[in-house]
Amino acid sequence: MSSKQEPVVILLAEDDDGHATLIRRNLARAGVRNELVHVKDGQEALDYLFCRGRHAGRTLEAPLLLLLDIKMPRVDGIEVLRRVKHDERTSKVPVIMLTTTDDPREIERCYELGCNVYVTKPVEYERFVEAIRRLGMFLEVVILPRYQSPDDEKESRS
Amino acid sequence: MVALAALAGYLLIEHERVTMQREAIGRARATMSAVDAELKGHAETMQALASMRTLSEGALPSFRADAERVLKSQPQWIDVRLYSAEGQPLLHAGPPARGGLETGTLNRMMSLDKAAVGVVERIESAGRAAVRVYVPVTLDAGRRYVLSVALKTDLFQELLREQRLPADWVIALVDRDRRFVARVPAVPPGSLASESFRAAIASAPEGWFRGVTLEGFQTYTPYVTSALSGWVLGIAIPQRVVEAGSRRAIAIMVFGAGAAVAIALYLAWFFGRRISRPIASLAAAAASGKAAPLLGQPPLIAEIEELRKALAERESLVLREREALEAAALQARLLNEQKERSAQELSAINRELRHRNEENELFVYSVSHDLRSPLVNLKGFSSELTRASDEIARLLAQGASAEARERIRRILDEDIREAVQFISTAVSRLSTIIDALLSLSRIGRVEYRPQAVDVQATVGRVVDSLRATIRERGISVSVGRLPACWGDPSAIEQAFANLLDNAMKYLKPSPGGRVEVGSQPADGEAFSTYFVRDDGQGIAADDQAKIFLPFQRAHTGMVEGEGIGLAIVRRIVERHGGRVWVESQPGRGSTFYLALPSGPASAAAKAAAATEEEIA
Repeated sequence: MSSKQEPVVILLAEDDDGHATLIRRNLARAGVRNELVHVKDGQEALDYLFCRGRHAGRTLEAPLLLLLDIKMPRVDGIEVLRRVKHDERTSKVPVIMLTTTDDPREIERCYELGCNVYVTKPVEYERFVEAIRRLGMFLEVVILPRYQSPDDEKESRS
Repeated sequence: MVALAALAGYLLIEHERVTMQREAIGRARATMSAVDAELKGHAETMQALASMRTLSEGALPSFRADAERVLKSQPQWIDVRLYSAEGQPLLHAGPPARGGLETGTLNRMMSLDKAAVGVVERIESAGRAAVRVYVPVTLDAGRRYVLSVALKTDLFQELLREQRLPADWVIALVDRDRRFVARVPAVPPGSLASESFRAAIASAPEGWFRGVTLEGFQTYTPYVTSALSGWVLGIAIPQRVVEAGSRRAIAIMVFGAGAAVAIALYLAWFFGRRISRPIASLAAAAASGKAAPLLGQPPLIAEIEELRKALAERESLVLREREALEAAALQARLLNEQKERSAQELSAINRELRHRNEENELFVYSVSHDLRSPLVNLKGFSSELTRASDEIARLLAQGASAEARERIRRILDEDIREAVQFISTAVSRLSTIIDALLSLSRIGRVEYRPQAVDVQATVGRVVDSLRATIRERGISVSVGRLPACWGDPSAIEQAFANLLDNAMKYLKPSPGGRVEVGSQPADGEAFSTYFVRDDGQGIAADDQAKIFLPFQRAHTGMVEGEGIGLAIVRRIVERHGGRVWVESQPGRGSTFYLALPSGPASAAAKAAAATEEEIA
């Protein structure tokens, strides 16, 4: 994570398009202007992270911030979290878990595995953006003032 | 003799007193450990509070909310306070209280790193007396706090009252400053204990003293000190109760000694005569020269004979008793074995119930997740709509410039249309889930009309209804010989339909694929076992137990469906008293087995068991 020039890329793994849209709109509204890559399941998130499959040619310049839904097809969010934190290439990537359940055992498990923040949906976007901002400061997330209008949020789907 | 009696009397009284003393101290100790247990219980609850994430993350306002919540659930707590390691107050929940932490308590607690108990204090804002429990909290980052809770003294008053001591006894609990925490009969908490009590307990941590209560009674008081809290508990027994015991001992002693002398005198006289009389008559006989009546009916020997008889009788009684005892022991052993068997059965049932319970939890977990997911969209996009209409209203208020109109058009076309789209998808998703739940519950409730079912014909009908899909995807379906079973025809048809549907769904994506329905040779008369085999994707070992649970799918998101098909199969089979299971290898296919009753007898035997397992 030494690159000072490259802004952070937010990788969002979320199988529900509606949730992804809400997240993207609210981040844009709060002035988070980073590139957001949306993948639909855990397997694709791992492919992206480790530059495999359809993401084999990805360049490794930009530092990442991971937003992970828990319940996803193929590989679930907890498994992605586990693998990310167990691989020294990715263990420093900050991870925010996003889920609809507030089961304390699950929360406990995510923190044990090393997630940075656990956010329960329906997302309180203020807290959520605050969490991203906090992790972003550490990673130099580009955050612009709030006057930007919502149509600046054009997506950058991979 | 008199000296001996006096010594015995003294020993007896002394023994009586020591016994009483021992019992009283035992009683005091037991009560004190109840007090200690109470304090420990509260300290444990505090530890649990201290381990909350909000505290370890240093989110003090959120921790305060946690503390408020726990405080509400603890009727004996007055407040919760958090201090820094230096004793500075950081936050409190409950009525306000002033001041920092007393240095002595702080140092003692921090050096020992365990819970400490304060002295009685009055919390003015709550209008009651309390004692504080302090728990040191050390977090990973080396941050240290002290958590403190004020406990109502009523709690201890109640505990003492529960000892149900006689009305004229006194039981009292004092803190380290020798002030009352609680006392029966009651005194204001925090008032000072009697002079004699304070003096006595200063000399040793545990013992027994003669003193005067606050009411002016002469008492004997056993007392103990708690290592945990430093509190002292005493039970004051009125002097006359203790002395009445001694008087009783003297009375027994005097009466006993008198009676013993009287009996000894009588026995001496009686036996003296018994022995002297025959000798006298022998002597008389000898003197008169007549045949001795000695062996005829000698009173002494007759008595010995009586004794022998009595002994023999006693012996046979003992023998009979021993036999009875052995029989009882045998009975007990049998009972025990039976008990063990029932215990084993019971623990098997418990295991089963636990298992069911876990399944139900998992079910509720997945249903609530599945319900919440569309709800998030409903909520999120509703507020998107609100936002969009606010924005349109704002633009309209600005006047109808071309730029504003263009912006409004875009909001209508893009934002609102998209939001409505997501909302309508979420609503139909919710309605699908609710329909699935309803059909699952119907499967559990619908009344069965059991009869002989021609499974061959049933499966034939199911395969016919799937013809279109079979042809379209080029699947080859073969049906072997299927014996009849006993059950509800339409339920059994549904079970096979779901299994076949499932098998065809999870074939490999490439065209072709085989599905085979058949039966296994019967290993007994009671059940017929059928199978539905496919050469599809198969199921990983970890998922095999899950797939029969509602809303759990091994291959999420790959095919349409709610994930209740197999749950319905299981429900139907279990209501018939049968069993369903799967054998599978990922990549090579799965075989689902169904064991269904082959006749009415086996169906009836299991019916009761199955009706108790209503989970749908």
